[in-house]
Amino acid sequence: MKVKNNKAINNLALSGIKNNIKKYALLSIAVILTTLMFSSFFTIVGSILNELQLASMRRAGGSAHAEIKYLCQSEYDILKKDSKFKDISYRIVVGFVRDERLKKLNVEVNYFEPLNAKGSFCYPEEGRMPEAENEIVLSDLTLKELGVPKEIGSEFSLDLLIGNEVKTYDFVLCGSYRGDPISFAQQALVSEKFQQKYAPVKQTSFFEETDFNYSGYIMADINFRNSFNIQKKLDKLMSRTGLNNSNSGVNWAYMTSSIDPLAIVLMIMFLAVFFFAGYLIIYNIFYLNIISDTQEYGLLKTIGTTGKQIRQIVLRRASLLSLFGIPIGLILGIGVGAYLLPVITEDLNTVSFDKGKVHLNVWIILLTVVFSYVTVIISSLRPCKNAARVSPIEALKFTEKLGKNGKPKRKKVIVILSLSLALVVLNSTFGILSGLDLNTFIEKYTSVDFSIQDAGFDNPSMISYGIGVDNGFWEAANEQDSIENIGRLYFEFEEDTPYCFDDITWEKIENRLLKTREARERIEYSNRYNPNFDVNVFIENLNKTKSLEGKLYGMDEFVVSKLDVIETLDGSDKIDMEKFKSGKYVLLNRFNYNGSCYNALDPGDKVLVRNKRPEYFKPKYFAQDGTPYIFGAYDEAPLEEYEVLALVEIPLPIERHSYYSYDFDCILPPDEFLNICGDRLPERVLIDVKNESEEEFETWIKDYTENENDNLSYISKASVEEEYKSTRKTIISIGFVLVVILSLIGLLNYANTIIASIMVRKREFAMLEAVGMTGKQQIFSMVREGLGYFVWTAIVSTVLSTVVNIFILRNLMDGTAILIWHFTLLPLIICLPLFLILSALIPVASYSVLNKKSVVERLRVE
Amino acid sequence: MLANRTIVRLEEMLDDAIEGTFVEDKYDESRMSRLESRWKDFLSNSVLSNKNLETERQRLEQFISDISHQTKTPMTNIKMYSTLLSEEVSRGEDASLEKIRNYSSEIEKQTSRLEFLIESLTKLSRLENGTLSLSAKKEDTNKLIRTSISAIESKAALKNIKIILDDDNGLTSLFDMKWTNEALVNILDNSVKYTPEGGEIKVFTESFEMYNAIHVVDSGPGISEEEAARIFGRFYRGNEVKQEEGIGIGLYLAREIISKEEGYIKVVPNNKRKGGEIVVYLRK
Amino acid sequence: MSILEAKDLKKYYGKDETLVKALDGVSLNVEKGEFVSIIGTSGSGKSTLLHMLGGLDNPTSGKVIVDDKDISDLKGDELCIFRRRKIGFVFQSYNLVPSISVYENIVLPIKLDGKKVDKEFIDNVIDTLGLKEKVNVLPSKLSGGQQQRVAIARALAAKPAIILADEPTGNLDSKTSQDVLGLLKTTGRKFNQTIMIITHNDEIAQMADRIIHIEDGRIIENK
Repeated sequence: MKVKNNKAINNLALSGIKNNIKKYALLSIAVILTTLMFSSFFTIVGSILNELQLASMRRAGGSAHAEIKYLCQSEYDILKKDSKFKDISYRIVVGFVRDERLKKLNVEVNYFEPLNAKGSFCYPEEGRMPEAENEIVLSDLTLKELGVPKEIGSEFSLDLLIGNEVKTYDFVLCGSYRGDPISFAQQALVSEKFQQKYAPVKQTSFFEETDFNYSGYIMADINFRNSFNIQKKLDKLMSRTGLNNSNSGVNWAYMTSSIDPLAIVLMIMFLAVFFFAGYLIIYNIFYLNIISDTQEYGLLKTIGTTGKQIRQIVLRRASLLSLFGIPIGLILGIGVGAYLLPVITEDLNTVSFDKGKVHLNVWIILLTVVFSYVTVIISSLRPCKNAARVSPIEALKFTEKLGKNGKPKRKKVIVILSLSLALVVLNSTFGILSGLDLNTFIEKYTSVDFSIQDAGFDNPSMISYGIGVDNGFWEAANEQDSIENIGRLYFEFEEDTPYCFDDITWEKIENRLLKTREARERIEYSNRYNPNFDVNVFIENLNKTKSLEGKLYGMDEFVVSKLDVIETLDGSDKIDMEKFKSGKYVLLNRFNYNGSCYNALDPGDKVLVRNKRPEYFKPKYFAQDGTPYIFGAYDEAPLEEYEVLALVEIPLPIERHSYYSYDFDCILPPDEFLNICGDRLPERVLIDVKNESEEEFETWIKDYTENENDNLSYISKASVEEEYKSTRKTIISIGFVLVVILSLIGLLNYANTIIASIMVRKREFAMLEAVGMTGKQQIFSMVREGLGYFVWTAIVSTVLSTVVNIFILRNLMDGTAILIWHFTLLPLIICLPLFLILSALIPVASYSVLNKKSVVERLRVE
Repeated sequence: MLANRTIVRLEEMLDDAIEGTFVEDKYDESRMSRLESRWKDFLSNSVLSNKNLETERQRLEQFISDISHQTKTPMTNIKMYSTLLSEEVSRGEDASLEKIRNYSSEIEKQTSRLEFLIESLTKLSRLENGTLSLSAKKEDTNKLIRTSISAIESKAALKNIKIILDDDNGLTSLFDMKWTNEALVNILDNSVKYTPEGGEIKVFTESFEMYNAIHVVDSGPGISEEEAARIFGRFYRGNEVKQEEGIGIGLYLAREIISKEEGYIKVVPNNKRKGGEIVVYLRK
Repeated sequence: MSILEAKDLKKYYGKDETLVKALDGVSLNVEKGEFVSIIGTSGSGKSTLLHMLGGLDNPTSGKVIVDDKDISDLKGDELCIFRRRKIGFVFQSYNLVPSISVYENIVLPIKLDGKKVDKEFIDNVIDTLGLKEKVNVLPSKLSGGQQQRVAIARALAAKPAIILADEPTGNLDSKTSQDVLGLLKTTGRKFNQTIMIITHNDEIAQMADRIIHIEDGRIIENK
């Protein structure tokens, strides 16, 4: 049993702060700054993650933890009786919209329980849930496509597929919600009466049904008590209820591995920098506080305070400061985060309503508090130890010894490191910024002046299959005088009917491509969402079929001219256009994974491509009514042989941005492409305009895509420039905030050290003045000390910046497409003189403030 | 288990205490360690109070022996003079009137000395035993000094000693007028005794933050450093003035009175200054 | 009854040629309730002696027995707790905790030991030392003499076995010194405390019941 002396310790800890507010104010600022860094960081990261998850949920169509599909009434009743989840809600499949006006939109018709509607992001924001048989709720996107006004009471009819029949039904709009363009399907909410009439709940299990008719099945959404290990919870639930597991699934928005490793590394780096900066300043200030309080601790020891108790006092002071500083830092940090967030998320690849909004949650606050507090405690451990180690006798003598006690070396190191840190970050930020060159950026992102595509191109809920840039545009564009060059790009996935090769060629592919570490990594990365994926089994299967999946392009001469040529059949650096246009040759994309390139084949090798002309279509799967399904229908189609004419790299703006495991992409001329893929519209049209006509053309195309054909959208060089500016702004903003905080920390550290040094030597100075050293000489000696810091900081920051520049930035920037690394120390060269002035000014200022009293007074101190 | 160990230790502590060998085992933040310290404290104090009882008994013994010792001389003298007187008276007509007067005055003197002695010893005894308590309150220090001086004025006048009083200020101190007067008179009386004919005694006050001091400075031989520590012992008389009449009990009584009032007396030894100086510090 | 005993105490610093014998075989004994002074010139070893007796430092050899306990082998925190319970210090430079009030300073050793404050006793001590009006102010607001009175009150408050006063009037003018010494003397008697004053000033030493003279690390007079 221990004696209870906590109160005395607490009292000492608290009063020590209360009566030394000035001394501890500096420390509070340090704690606030540290917390601010963590807080803004977690706010930003937390909000982005939240945003990404929300986006995933919207895409997935729901926020529930898990979904169990296609249940009949009795199955749902069994499920509902289980009590080990938080809530369960359901919707009943009615059918699908099959309406001429909604060709491009995937709209499902369901009866929703209100809770389920909310969880599925389709609860009406205007109006109410449908009640009468003919009432319906639609999304604004659906209404727009339908051309029905977004007004309650609008009457219209829709063609719906219910069961196996398509029929026309009349509806009255009773509500609408904001449809998210990123979700895979829009919802049409019908009333329970409607559902009961046309799609009564199924009474037999899905697995006993023989036809593909979903109408009348119950879709159950389940929320567990928390989101940890949902899969296990779901598995347990299924085995408890004895239901068939195959139609249940975890909402993939809850799968955690959606952050890529580079981001994790970056985040850890940020955290490390923040921790280090916080540690440096808190440690330094605390350390100096302890030195100036040595006497107090010594005296506490003489009257019987144990080392342990002193450690407790110091730790409690740190905790008290945290109690005060962390909330302030937290709030300020959230503010900074809120300021930076819109800038950062502008580049984020999600389309959502609340983009750039701060999503505060318990985790952000908790992590900030934990990280900040841990930093404070770790930073104060050493000072604590020092305080506890104070010998009572030394403390008694300390009054006399004060003058002789110089500044320990370690402190100097910390100040120098802290100052250098700010400079290194500044230099690195600038390094990244200067690597962000407008011309390369534009070059990388726009090989052409304008790129025109179907507006639904990047919109998952649009059914983009078979749709492209129509001939109307092709004709209208060709009439424009400002056009210099124009070309079409066709596109097709080689999925179920991949590229095939003969044995010799395959061996080449196997050795040159599949055996490389990069290819394996790439394959694993592409399949990272599949928990059972085994790369060895995957490659083994490829070896069996001797075939690869990939993309197939059809390109006009103009588009081909934009490709980067790596190697050609005739050895020249130009593609022989005549040969290419003959239709006997193919261009092959080179495998490139994070800068590692491999030529899977050489010019002259043969590639076999499946001919997918409609006449070779052999239906394999049929619906109940005999309707054939489209999958896997070309297995027996003939293979066309092409010779590789050249190895190329497709520039980013031309490439179709969907990645296959090994980028085995082939390019054919348009005629040959259409010949083996069947007739279709080009996916994109690429246009170069005459110099100085850019604006003219942009005005035209803007008008055209908005008024004449709003199914089309375009990307121009100017819009890429905008993007460039926003990227730049992001880096500048983050860099600016970082540099300001870190410089503040560095300078605070420096000023604190100088002030402490003057305080410690106050009496020495007075003595020196008494024997004839002028104030000027003293200031000079302080300035000289400051210059010492400057010289060391200059050396350390230059060395560190160089190292960071060459070893970290270079790798980082080379890994990205838009940054070009080059060595720079320019910011250092600019900032060091500025710092030189500060390093001289701070001692002068501190000296004149601290040594205002007369010599006699100062000699008499304590 | 833990409780058991505690009990065992407590028993040990008790055993050691009975044998008088108890010492703390260790110093740490445990409550047992603190208990040990307090146990030791208690034992030390009870040993001390036993010792105090013992001192009390010794003091009583001393007191009785003091009375017998101190009263011996005057008693013998009275006896002697009484014999002489009766002898002289028995001579009838031849009796010398002068001698008779002489003897009777000597008897009177010895009686009053005896009276004083017994009175002093009784006071002292009561004071030491605490049967008589002082009631210290705020009083005028100058009034005290004047009262005390007036008590020895005639005696001083006999030796032609000048008494110089420097009392311009109205200081108040915490003391019991009656008893403090007694103490101060004893000190002044002592000074008169040691001051040669025609000398002077200076009395002045000095104020401190916590105390008021009454300095009594005489032009006598002063007190040596050696003596300074002993002068307040019971029945001490200065070496140099053996021939003078008086008994050492006065200063001792004075010190007892002043300490009872939370004041103290300091002797300034004669290596520091010429003459004797005794300072009485009274609590403010 | 002996409350403090030093037996052949030695403290050496350095070695061989640079060997300094700060204490060279000091033995002394202090009875409970005594008011003893140790006098010596600067460098005589009196401060070292005080450090040894007060458990601030360990001797090279010899024993220090406080209240029957040999403290020569105690280390670190043990010594701290020993000091807290057994020794009351009064230093030349007062050594009050600047950040807490006079009252908190006075009861600090008690609270550090987690003991309940004996209100009546503390009030008596505060009253005796004339600090009643000052209990709630910070030490820095007090004069030197007042601060030293607080230090005495702090030493008395914990009812230690012995109060060690190291040049208690070293920073005070003569008038204030007299006050402080008087208080040490009278309160020692009032609260039945054993007090040891260490000083180089023989007039101060005179106030004590017994004077121990130390020179060159040895006792040359004990009377």
